[in-house]
Amino acid sequence: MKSNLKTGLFIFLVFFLLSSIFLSSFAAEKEYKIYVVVHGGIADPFWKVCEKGALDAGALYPDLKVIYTGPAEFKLEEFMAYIEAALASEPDALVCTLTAPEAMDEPLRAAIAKGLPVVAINAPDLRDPEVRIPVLTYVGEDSYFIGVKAAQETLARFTPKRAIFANHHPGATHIEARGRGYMDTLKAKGVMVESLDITDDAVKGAEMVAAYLKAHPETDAIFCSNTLRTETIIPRLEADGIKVGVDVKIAQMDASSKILEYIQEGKVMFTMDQQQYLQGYLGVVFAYLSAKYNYIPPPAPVSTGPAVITADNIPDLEGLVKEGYR
Amino acid sequence: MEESKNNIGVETRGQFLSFSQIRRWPEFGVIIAFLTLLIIFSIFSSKFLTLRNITGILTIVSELGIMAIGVAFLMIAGEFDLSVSSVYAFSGFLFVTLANKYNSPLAFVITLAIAAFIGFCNGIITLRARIPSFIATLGMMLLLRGSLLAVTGGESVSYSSDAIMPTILTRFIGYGFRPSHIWFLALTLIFSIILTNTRYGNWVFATGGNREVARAMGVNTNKVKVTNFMLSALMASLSGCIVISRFNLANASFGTGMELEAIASAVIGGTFLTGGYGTIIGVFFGAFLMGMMRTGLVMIGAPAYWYQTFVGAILIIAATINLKLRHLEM
Repeated sequence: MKSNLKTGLFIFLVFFLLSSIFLSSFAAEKEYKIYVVVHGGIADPFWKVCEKGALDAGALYPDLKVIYTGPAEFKLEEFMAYIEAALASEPDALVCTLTAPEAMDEPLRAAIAKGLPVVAINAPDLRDPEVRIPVLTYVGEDSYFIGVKAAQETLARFTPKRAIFANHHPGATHIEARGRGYMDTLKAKGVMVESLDITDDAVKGAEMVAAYLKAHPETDAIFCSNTLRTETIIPRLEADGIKVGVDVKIAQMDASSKILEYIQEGKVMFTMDQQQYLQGYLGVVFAYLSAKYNYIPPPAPVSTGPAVITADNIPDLEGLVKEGYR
Repeated sequence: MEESKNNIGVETRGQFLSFSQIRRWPEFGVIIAFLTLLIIFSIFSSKFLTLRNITGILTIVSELGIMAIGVAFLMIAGEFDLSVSSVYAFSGFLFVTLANKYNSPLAFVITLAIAAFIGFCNGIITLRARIPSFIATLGMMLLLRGSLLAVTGGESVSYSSDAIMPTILTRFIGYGFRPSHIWFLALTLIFSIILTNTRYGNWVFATGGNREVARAMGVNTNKVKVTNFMLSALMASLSGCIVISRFNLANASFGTGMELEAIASAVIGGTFLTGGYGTIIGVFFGAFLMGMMRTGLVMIGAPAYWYQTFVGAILIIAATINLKLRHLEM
C-alpha cells in the first residue's frame, strides 16, 4: 500500500510538471487577460446569456483571454473571494457586478488606484455619487427605474388589490432598488404591496409564494425578480388550483424560452428585458479597449434596458432566446 | 488509550524525526494534500504564490478557520454544531446593530456573550432533552437564520460606527496582512496547546472517545460538552464579527452553508466524525485547503461551472489520503 501511494503521488506530480512545461511553451505574445466576475448563480439561465456576451466579445480579439466566473449560487462571501482571486492574478482589466459596493469598496478602490481598468456591469454602485467606487463606467439596467417601469406597465393593464415583489437575492442592492421602484410606484396608487424574500432556492421560493398567497388570497399581482423563480412559481401556484394569468397576474425580469411560452399562454403579462448579453459583451469590449489603447468608455450608466417583452414581440425573440442571445 | 493516541504527535516532536514518525502525525495527510494543491496551483498560475494572493487567501481562511477550530473542538468531544453558520450571521448583524447604536467594543462584548449563551442553549438542549446534537443545532440554525430574515426583511445593514473593533479584528496592517490572520494563528496555537497539553484537552478527548470510561475516570462529560458548545458558538461569533468588519455590511444570507465547510475543514484536518480524535493544527491546514481551492481554481482559469466538481473531488481525495495514512499509522 505504501508503494502504491508513493507511486501515485509521484505520477501525479510528474504529470502536472510536464503539463505546466507544455502550457508555458505557448506563452509567447502579450495576451490581455480580463476577468468577468458576476455574483451569480452562474448556472442561472440569465447569467448564461451574459456569459455568452462576454465570451463572444473575447472571441473578437486574438490577444484577449476572457475568464468568466462567479459562485454557483449567490453568496456574497464566495463572490468576494472570487473578486480577490481575480485581482490577485493581476489581470489587465476586470469586469464585475457591484453587488455589494460597501464590501467591494476596499479591494476595488485599491486596484483602481494602481491603474486597473474596472468596468461594472448589471449591478451598479447606488450610493451617493461622491462615495461610489470609481469604476470606468457601468453597463446595465437603471435598477430603480426598471421597477418603476414594471409597476407602470402593470398599472396600465389593471390596478392590483395586493401585490408582492418576489426578491430572490435579499441584500443585493440593485435588486432591492428594483423592488423599491416597483413598490413605491404601486404604493403611490394606493396598492398594498410588499417585498417577499423567496431565497436563493427556486423550489423553496415557489413554496414561499404559495404560502403567501394562502395567507393573503387577495394578492393578484407578482413582480418576480428572476426568470428561474417565475418558472417554478407558476406550476406551484397552479398545483394549488390558482389560475395564473387570471387570479394572479405575473410580471417578471428577463427572458427564457419557457417565459416566452408563458407570455404566449397569458400566464405572464410581460417581462422586463435588461439585455444582459450587452452587459457581458460591452463590459468586456470597454475593458479591453481601455487596457490596450487607454480608451475611455462612455460615461455611466450605459443603459441596456429596460425593454418590455409582451406577446407581440415573441415571434422575433424565440430564435434569439434559443441561440442564447436573449 | 486515548492518551496514547493523542500524544503521538506531541511526543515525537521533541525527538529527532524520521519519515515513519512524521507519517504518523495526525496532520500528515492534510499537509500532503495541502502541499500537493499548493504545487499544482503554483505551477498553473504564476501569481498564486505571491504575497498578495497568500494574504488574500489567509483572509478567507482565517474567517473559516476560526469557526472550524470551535467546530472541531466540539467534534472531538463527540458532538456536532450545525448552528455555527447562523450564529456567524446573527452575530454579525447584532454587532453592527449594537455598534451603530453604542460603540464597537461594547457591541463586540455583548455579541460574544449572547453567542456563548446560544452555545449554552445548544448544549443544554442536546444533553437535557437527549436530542442528538445534529438535530438540536440544525433546529437552532434554522431558528436563528429565520429570525434574522424576519427581523431584517432581507435588507443589509451597513456598519457606521467607530473603527476600534474593525481595526482590532480585520483592517489592513501592512503588506496585505490583517489582524484576523494573527487571531487565527494565535487561536490555532492556543487551542492546540489546550487540546494536547492540558487536563481539559484530555477530558475533551476522553468525552468524545468513550464517554462511560471518561465518566468512570471522574470527567464531568456534560460540563465538557456544554463548554465546547459555548466555545463553538463563541468562535463562530468572532468569525462573524471579523467578516462584518471587513465588509462593513451585515446581511441575513451571510455564512449560508458555512457549517459544512467548517466540518469539512475539521474532517480533512484529521478530526473523526465519531469524536475522540483530531488536532487543531490539522484543522488549520484543512481550513487552508478549503480556502485555497476556490481561489486557486479561479486563478488557474478553471471553467467556473466545474468548480463545485473540482472542490468535491479534491475533498474526497484529501479525505481519502488522510484515511489511508491513518491506517498506516494504526
